[in-house]
Amino acid sequence: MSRLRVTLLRAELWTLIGSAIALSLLGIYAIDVASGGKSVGLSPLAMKQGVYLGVGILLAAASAIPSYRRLGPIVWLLYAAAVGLLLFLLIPAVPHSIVRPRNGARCWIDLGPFNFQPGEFAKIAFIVAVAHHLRYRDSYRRVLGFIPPAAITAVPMLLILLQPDLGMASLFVPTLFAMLIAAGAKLKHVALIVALGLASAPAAYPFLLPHQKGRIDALIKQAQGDYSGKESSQYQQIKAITLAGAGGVAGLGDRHSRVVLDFNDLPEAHNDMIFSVVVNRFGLLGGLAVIGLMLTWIGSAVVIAGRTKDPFGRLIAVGLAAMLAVQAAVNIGMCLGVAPIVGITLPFISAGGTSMLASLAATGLLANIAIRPPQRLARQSFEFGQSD
Amino acid sequence: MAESSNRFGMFHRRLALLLCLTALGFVVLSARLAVLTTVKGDDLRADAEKALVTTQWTPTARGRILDAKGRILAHDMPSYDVAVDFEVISGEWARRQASRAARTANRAAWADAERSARERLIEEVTPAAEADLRGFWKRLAEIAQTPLEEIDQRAADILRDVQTRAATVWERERERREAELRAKTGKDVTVSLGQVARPVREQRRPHVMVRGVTDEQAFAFRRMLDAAPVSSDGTPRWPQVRVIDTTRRVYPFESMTVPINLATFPSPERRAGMQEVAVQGVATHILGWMRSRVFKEDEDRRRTLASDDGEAMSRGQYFEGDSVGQAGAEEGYEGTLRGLRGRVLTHLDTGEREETPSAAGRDLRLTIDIALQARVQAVMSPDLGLAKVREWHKGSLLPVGTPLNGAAAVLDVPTGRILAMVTTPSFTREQLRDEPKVIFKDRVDQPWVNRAIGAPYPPGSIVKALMLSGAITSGTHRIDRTIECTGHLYPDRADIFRCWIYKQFHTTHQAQLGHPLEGPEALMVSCNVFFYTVARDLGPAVLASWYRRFGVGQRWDLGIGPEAVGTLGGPKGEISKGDAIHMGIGQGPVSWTPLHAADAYATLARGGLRITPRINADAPARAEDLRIDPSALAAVAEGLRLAVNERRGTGHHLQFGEVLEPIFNAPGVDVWGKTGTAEAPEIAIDPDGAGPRPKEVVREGDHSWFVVTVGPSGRPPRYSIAVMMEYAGSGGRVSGPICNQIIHALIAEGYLPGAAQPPEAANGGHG
Repeated sequence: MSRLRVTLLRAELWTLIGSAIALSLLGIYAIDVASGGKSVGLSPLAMKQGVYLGVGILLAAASAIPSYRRLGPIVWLLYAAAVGLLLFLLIPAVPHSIVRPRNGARCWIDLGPFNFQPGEFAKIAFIVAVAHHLRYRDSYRRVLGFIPPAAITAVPMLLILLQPDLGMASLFVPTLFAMLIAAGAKLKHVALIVALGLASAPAAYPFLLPHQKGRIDALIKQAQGDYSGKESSQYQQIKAITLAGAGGVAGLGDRHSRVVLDFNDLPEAHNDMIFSVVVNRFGLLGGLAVIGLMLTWIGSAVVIAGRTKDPFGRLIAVGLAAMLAVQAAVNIGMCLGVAPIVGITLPFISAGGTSMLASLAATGLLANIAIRPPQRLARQSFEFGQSD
Repeated sequence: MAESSNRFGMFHRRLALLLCLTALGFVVLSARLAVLTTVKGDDLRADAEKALVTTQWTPTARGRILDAKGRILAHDMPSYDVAVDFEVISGEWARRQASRAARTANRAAWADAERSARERLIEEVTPAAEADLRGFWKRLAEIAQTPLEEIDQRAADILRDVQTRAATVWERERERREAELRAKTGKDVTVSLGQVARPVREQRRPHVMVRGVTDEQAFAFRRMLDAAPVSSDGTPRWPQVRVIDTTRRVYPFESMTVPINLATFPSPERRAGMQEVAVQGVATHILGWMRSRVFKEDEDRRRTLASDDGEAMSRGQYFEGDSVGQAGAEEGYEGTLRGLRGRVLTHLDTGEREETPSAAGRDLRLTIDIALQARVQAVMSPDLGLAKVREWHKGSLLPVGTPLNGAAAVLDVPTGRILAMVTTPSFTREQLRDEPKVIFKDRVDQPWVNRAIGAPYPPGSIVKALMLSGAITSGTHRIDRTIECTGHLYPDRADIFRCWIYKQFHTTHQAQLGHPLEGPEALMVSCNVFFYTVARDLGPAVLASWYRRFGVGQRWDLGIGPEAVGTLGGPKGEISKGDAIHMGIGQGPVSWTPLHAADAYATLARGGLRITPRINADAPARAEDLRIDPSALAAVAEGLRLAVNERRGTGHHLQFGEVLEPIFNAPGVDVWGKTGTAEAPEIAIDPDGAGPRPKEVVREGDHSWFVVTVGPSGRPPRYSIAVMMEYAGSGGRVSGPICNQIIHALIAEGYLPGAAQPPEAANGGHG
């Protein structure tokens, strides 16, 4: 019986849900603004996003109600399904009607009215799998113990890299590290691996695809004040920066912002570069509001992790929080010209069904953790004394 | 207790750490956001709002260049070129057209047809496509009002040129590729032409078939496709023509015909009556030309010209394909001539339009009289005989018949305006376009140099007038002082500082005249010993200062190209005492140009007032009084008068056997003048291209100078004329008759009223 008991009187639960809804609504409006449009009512794209929000809320509710602990036995099934879908994307024989490459990347499965992006699903499956693996162990307190979780991470990440989707792939490693840190891995080990990784990063540059190199080069150029690629490689980023900065403190307002965005032709305005649109419309204040709401969501997830005593729930919460934090930071960084353009969405706000559904599913999963009362006799997990 | 350790155990500390890192990241992003929206906000907003505005430019007209009498020497002529794509010329278009027609006609069978079957189908319709193309060419020729054969010829020429070019490029590429592969693999690899044959640039761009069509023709060409036969799917069966706006710069007086009275020529060249002389490339060096490539320097110069409000910058900036003045006044007065474009700003959101009308370039008025210029150039053309090596010239080291290069400048004495300034050889803009190598690669004749202002020459004896006036004014030479010509300056050194009369005839002026020389007499006979003595007494410093006062070393800033300001002294400006003695007769370390010479004589004619020569009629006069002693001026004037009017004067006559013939034969004018025969450095080329030796001397000998001032009889001098002929030998014999003809030209153009025109020279028209 105790399993059916839930606790809804939790502040972090409602800040979590509230921030998610607020960001989603803001997103729908921003997508409408980005569509320019002088017609009455929401643009088709914004309308569609509204539908996704509705579906997403149902999905969130669905992922909140059956206890997340029931995921335990099927974790590896989910993981295998995610990997299977990612492999499916890469089969060259799959007809274009099912997997239509966009900008040369095989990321999407065409389901008629809805395009499904298996990578978004794989993100969550990977977090759950890593959480499941780490929950009762302490092997990762040794360096060699990093290998199994790294392997769990590497499989979906490499498959996503092959699509190629550098943006999404880049989220996996920081998320894994966040989960390892939370689970009590020795910080010096983590620091060592991060240091090695950073030191060898330039060596990875030659293996990047030309357009990926181009974006990094463009960022470096721009950081050096070289605007020679204004019409080519740096075009998108310079446009994004310009439109964000143009918002000033309070934004351009609805009408003017629509006109300015319409004539500036910012590529992916309603998608990857939506943050620039928000800042253009609402200015510094709007940008800070988005950042604040993101932090509220992340903070709520962290509190949920802190409140529960179940190691599985703890690590899922940390993983989801980390994933969203990194994704939001990279996306915003991209729009403000401090990160290369890698093509990832801003959670809740960017147009796109799968992204929206994944973010709301993550919210549902966190709510799921939040409403479970602590199990009796549960002891605190991941307490390894002071020798970290 | 347990509760609190539970609450803040390791996991919670780790959570706090992660949250802090996250917050830190977002703080950094917030800071960046704040900088962009506040510090840079206004600039970025302006940038973003630029997209709301489109800018259209309306053309401006380049200013005209006018001569002193208002004749238009250069103006813009609206015109258009008609071009077609290379594939039309190569036949590729017709083949493609046929292939398309075959496919359309046999749509059902096409997909299953074998390659050879397709080829057959295409062949069937090829004649029709070719007939269409013939029709196209015919119509094109019709509108262009050109015989069809000419169009065909032009197409054939283009085809041949492009194919040659492609073959060269491919062959070079093939060799490059082979060398590259050899370097990489270490083996000899053969690369076939097929592997490197990519269309070259000329095969991808349109080619001009008809140049310079009128506005109406251009309109007809644009509408040409409307009259084209149409295929079943409604597409025209003629290729596209491209009408390119090529508003041209036109120089109406570039080629002129002038009547020259040969009866006033020296007897060996004299013929009865007038001869119509065609002159090509009149004033090319003065006017310059246009080029259609824009360089970064043009942008930079424009920026400095239009730094006033930034507005002018964008309206004046160069666009790809703009014409830019090159050389001469077109380049020097680019800022005046080039106008500002008009601009139409359209606000895309509101539809509001802001129009700024274009501002045409201003006209440039020159002091040149183009008719006089043409006459001067005519008498300097080798065809008439005065400007090529002749038997009677004597003294030139070049073979008889060699064309002589040179320059002449004609100044208006009262104002300092340049009335004519000729350099030979000249060239036309057509030659410049078609055979630039003939102009820019000829190291011997150097046609691109404006010899009147752009190249330094040793002045020779013409400076003796300056020396006499300078020495008297400076007090180193008393006006009544006489000097004995002993043949050489130093009694015991007969090998240096010799007088020309000693060198040539082994005699002295003392022996010739029977008495020591006074200043005017010394000028008349151009005695070297007299002026060696004068220069030695002046000393290097004062002597150099006189050269400077007469303009050596100063720019005129005419704005028509490079100016050789003249040189004084060695590389560091040092002048030894020996140098100074040489410089007294215009030799040694001193150089100047024909314009310097005309300017110096004009200064003497003005009583010592120097007015810097100018060619822009609207430029202010710059004047300076050299404070020359009036008695010195009188002595000089007397000397110059004697030199050309007295039998013993070096500039008085030509001698043909026993017959003496005066150099100057224009009635009703007074002439003052001075000859100069200046030793010049030889020009040598390196015939085998293998190094300094053996070298072949292509030009050697003396430069021939003659400078005169001339005025109506009984009146002071009105015009100053300097003529210099390179490596021509005697000043009197070569440049003298040319100078005489320039005086005739001035009379013919009405510059010396009162002077009677010789009977045959009833003023003919020009042009």
